[in-house]
Amino acid sequence: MMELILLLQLSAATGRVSGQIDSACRAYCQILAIQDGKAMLIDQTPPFRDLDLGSYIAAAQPLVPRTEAPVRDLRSSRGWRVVASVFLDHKQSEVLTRIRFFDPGGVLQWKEVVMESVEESAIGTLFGGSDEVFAMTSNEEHAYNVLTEIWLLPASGRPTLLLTAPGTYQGFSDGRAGSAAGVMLARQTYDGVHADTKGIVEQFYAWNRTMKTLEPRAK
Amino acid sequence: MPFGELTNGAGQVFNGNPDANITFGIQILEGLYSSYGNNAAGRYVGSLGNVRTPTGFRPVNPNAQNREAAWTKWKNRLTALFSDKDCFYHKP
Repeated sequence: MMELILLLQLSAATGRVSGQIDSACRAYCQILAIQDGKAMLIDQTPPFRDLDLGSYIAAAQPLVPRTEAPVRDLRSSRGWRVVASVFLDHKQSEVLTRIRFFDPGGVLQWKEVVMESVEESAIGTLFGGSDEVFAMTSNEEHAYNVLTEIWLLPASGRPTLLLTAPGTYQGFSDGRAGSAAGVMLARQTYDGVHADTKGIVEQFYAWNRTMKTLEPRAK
Repeated sequence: MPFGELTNGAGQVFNGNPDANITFGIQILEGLYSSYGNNAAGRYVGSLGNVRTPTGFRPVNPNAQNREAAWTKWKNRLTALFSDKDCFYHKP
């Protein structure tokens, strides 16, 4: 009984929570934990909050450090595998998402850091044709903090970043039925300082199959 | 995601109650002040770090860095303003 009491006291002293995989503390602690199949940010900074960062994907855990929690695991028909995991940035005391790109041979080709949580993601021949791409929108704290990245997944080598923009992707078109191939983005216009810049505008990015680029233009 | 649909932000659903929203915001500011003093202007918006990309480094969150830069630009004048005892001057 005494050992149990001491264990509970020690647990309380260190602020450890159920399922904890990492923590970063200043005046208060931010804790990353896996609870009930979810990756959770337990933010002990007042006002306390438990933030759901997405469903935990145990099958992808061997591909990332134990201090990260996979929340997305996408595979393309050609064999690319993209794993997104949430982690604590100890230097900044913030939770972020890391994307890892594994080529069809299983080799890690690139790592990229995006915002706190994943809103949406897609993989495949999203622009029609044979080019495989990966798209992800991430967000943090406020609705205007949003980032979409779109990557070309080549037959071999590193993926290529096609687009990085402050917005959410609305949908992809594959170029059939007379429409241009590309992606429609809802771009946030806020500059982070002036309230009168807040807003959303639609912007279409057309896919250039020859140059392998996305170019803004009217749809 | 349909055009114009917004995220909840900060993991909280905004129910349209301005008092609740302001109260929540003030609580967050108090927490940030406890951790960072008066240098949390950018952190109230989002992450302040930079990340590596194939073409160089970029801010995790440009909005947050813009807000931090605005605070850095104006903080001396604001500090002077709020340090000015004459703001509350009255004759003895």
